[in-house]
Amino acid sequence: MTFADKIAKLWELRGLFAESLGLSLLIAFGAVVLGFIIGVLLAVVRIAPKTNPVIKVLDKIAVVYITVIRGTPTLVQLLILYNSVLVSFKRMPTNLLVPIIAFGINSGAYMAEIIRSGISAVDTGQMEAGRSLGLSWITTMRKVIIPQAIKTVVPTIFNEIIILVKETSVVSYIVLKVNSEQKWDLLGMAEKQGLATPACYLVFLFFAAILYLAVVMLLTALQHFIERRLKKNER
Amino acid sequence: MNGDLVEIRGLYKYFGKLEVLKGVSCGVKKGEKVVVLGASGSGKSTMLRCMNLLEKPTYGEVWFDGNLLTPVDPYLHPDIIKASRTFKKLKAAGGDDGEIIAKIKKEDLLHEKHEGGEYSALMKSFHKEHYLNENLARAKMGMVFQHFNLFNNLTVLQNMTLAPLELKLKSKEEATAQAMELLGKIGLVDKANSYPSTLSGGQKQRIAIVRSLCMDPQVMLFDEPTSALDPEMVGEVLELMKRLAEAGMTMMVVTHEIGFAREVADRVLFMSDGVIAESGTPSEVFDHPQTQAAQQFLSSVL
Repeated sequence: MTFADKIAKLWELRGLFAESLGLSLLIAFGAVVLGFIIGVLLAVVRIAPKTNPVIKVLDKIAVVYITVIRGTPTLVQLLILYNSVLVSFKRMPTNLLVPIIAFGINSGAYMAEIIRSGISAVDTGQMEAGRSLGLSWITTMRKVIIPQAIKTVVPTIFNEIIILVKETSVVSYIVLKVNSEQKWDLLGMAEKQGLATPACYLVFLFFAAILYLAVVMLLTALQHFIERRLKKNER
Repeated sequence: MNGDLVEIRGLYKYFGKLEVLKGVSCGVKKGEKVVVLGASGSGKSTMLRCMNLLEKPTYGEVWFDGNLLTPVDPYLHPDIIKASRTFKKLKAAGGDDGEIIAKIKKEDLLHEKHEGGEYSALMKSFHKEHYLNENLARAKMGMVFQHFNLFNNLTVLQNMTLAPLELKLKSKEEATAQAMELLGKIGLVDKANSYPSTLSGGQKQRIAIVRSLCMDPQVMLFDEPTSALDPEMVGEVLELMKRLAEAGMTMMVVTHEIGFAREVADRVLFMSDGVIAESGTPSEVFDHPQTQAAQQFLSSVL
């Protein structure tokens, strides 16, 4: 098989690769949204003054959560969730929720620490000013502190998103279904097609790598755009 | 309580082992302008910050407009002490009520959990009768900080309308109209849609002052409002504070500006080492200081 033949084969399979890239991105997007929500909630719990017992208990839970999730491999977490807690999702006709929840839970732990560092970096005077005007702690958090914290952590959050996009490649370890039909993520598709046409295996892998790289470069451009916009907002 | 709008009673504040306030009591009457002086570390800022509970007093009570903002401090209430088991035990051993109460206070003998039902019931009913939620009190007490603390993520106008709108005290139109009117009074209407990072220190502090005024406060607390300003900007901030004083605002000002104190204050408090060492009219405190600490301080700043 000449190189031109291999490229021709790749061209033939372009629809399948595009579809699998879409699936990878969908999983990553869902996980980022879920992870961000979990991250903000955990960060707020971690940073809240430990005055009432409910907050104290929630804080302990948050600490355990962050420790366990950051301390174990993503693939292990995915397989455990797939085969135990999320086993009923696994049997559904469309089981994309399994990887979305698994990666979301995973990413939430990292996002929590990122956002917490952002909140800590906001001057304490901002909270005092809010409280002195009669606003509650949570209102001041929502309207003043978190918007400023997010701004400072945009680069780090994007770093986490980029890692997450690439990390979704481990879903090829589980069976993905859409409308009861088996589907593959980007790496999974490259593997599957590579097995069917071994001569093209390396070309498919390179192609997958190029697609991941392209997505990450787009995300980086988006990050710089957002950073510029946020900066302009203050001038 | 005795006509004071804000009153602190028997206030102690410890930061770990450091005693910053050692039994401070004072009040501000409606319309009164009180200036607090003292060397750095004397506890004057801490006292001011206790008034709106940005610092929680270790012992003592803070009252605002007849409402209690802190937990009840039993040592300030002889009738509550008399209901305690400790008092009854000591009384049974004989002695004068006043002496026993003094002993209990001095030796910190009350232990919340062991004083019996009568004591707990009195504590609870007193609290219930007088307590006001701190957020409600703070909404009526303006505070101006040394470092301005404008909300960096909001425009000047949003800074001013955030609290009235979030607390649903005004409609958006009302809040905006009031904010624009106040900006007009300080000549900064053109800055309404600017972000704080584009303003000078003097502009920031004047906006911080009118931001507080948007809540229609009954009293304004100033925590060294000119200490972080470049010298040429001190004047514009003091000028605004004087106008506020002339308009009849109740004010408590922690500052090093002796000139301002002389001109505006009805009463000057001099703090030293966690207590109020002197209290009187500006001329009493400045021209005839009684304590050595005050004499030293004044000779160093005048």
